[in-house]
Amino acid sequence: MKLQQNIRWIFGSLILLNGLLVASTPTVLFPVCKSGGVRMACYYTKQAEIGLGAAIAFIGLLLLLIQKREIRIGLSLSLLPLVALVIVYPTYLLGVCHSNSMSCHVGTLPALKVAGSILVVITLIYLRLLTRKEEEHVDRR
Amino acid sequence: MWIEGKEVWKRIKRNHTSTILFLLPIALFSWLVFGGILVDASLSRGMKKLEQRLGADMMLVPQGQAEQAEGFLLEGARGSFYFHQNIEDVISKMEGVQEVTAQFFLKSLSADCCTSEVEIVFYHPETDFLLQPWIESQIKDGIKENQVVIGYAIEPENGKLRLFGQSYDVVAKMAETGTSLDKSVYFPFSALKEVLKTAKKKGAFLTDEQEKEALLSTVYINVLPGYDTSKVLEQCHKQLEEPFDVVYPRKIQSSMGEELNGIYTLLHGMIWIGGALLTALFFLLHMIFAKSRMKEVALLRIFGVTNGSIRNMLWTENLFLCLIGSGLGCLFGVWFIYPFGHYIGMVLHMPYLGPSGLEMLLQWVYTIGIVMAVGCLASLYPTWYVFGKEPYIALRKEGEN
Repeated sequence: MKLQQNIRWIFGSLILLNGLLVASTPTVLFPVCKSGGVRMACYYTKQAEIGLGAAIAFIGLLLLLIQKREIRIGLSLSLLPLVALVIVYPTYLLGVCHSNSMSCHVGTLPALKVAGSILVVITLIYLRLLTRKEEEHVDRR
Repeated sequence: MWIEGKEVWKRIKRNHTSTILFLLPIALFSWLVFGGILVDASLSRGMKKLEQRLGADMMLVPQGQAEQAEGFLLEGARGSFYFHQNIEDVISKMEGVQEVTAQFFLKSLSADCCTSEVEIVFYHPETDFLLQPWIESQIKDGIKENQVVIGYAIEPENGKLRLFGQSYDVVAKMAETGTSLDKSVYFPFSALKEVLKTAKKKGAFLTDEQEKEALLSTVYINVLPGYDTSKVLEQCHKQLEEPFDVVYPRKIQSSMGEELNGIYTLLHGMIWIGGALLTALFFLLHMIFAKSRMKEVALLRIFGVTNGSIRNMLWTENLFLCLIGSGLGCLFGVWFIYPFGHYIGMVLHMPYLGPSGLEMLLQWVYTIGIVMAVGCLASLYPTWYVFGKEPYIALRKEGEN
């Protein structure tokens, strides 16, 4: 029971922090190019990532607060498409500036890919831990 | 040996806390070494390519454009600056000049071939001494108006490149530079008029300056060996009517070399200090666990297991941990450092050329080798220490505690 609670705290906090990381990557950590008059692709990617990051952080918070395992499994599953979008927005759907001398191309894009891939790994490990408990539970019955 | 390995693996899986405590410093150390080697090798590769690229003694650019031209030499991003007269012919007749060549830049035009914009450069194939060292295969019959040389990052389709709706034969591809030069397309000067006409027809925005045909962006000069560059410069100031700025690529190269040496010292210092601290931590952990395992080793010896077998077991366990830890550390290196290669280069203002797959694999093997050697060294004394006490003393001491 204690282990389960620890796992909930650790993974909930990790997902919450990663959500904040996603939101702060294009704004604070690796800011996208400054748009003057014309808004470039990276501007829209930034807006989308802020929204995604906030949603992921909110799910992380719920994962911290909610005790019921089934709900946590559902929340973790709902994270997967959001995490996929973290990577897909800057690479395919919205993109960033094309020139490799632009800060969004060399900084924001790889940072978002790394943040997204970390989240994928964390979510999959969490799901594995949650469903493994389920298997053990069924076995015991 | 295999059965022993399986047993050791079981032990590693069973002892979660000690495994994590051992793996963390090993992974951190490997990450540090791998990351250091990766950045170090990429910077020196970029520097070597830069040395080859800065293959001229002097570079003349229009007045006020020296800073932009230096940026072009280092990062490959070209600017739209032009001479209004053909100064190349005048310079070629000057005393002490060994070779002169000129280029014309059309900055960032979108092309059908690529998702991103490409930079178009016109050059003189007859006088050129800058491009040829970069071309992977020699151009046998010279370059014609409907032919192009392309940068490393541009992918032709069936040996052709589509630009402004026109199809051009690709005669050669340049080697990787790690800069914006990789997204350039090179035309001979003879194609300038036709390319500008097609570009304009296809709706590309051209400035008034770009529309005038007899223009040059930069002129590169190599002086005769032993001849003073300042004397050539004096002649330029006297004979050229148009004001100009001079950039000395070789001087930039030497100052970059000095800067890079500073970065190397810092990087190597960090690896050595970090490595020494982590080795000490690794040694301490080994000592702590050696002490906690004295009872276990003593019991094994009492039950008749030979010292050699116990030593083998301890060594195999250590090697397993080093292998897993260093593998993880390198994986994190690839995951967290490799994608930021160009960013590191941009922050340091240095040319950065990342490794190929094979080179990275070699760096990985090299790192694992270093980590395993350090891990074995750190465990030498603790392993000896475990056998240092007679079994009954070890057991009695444990009992007393």
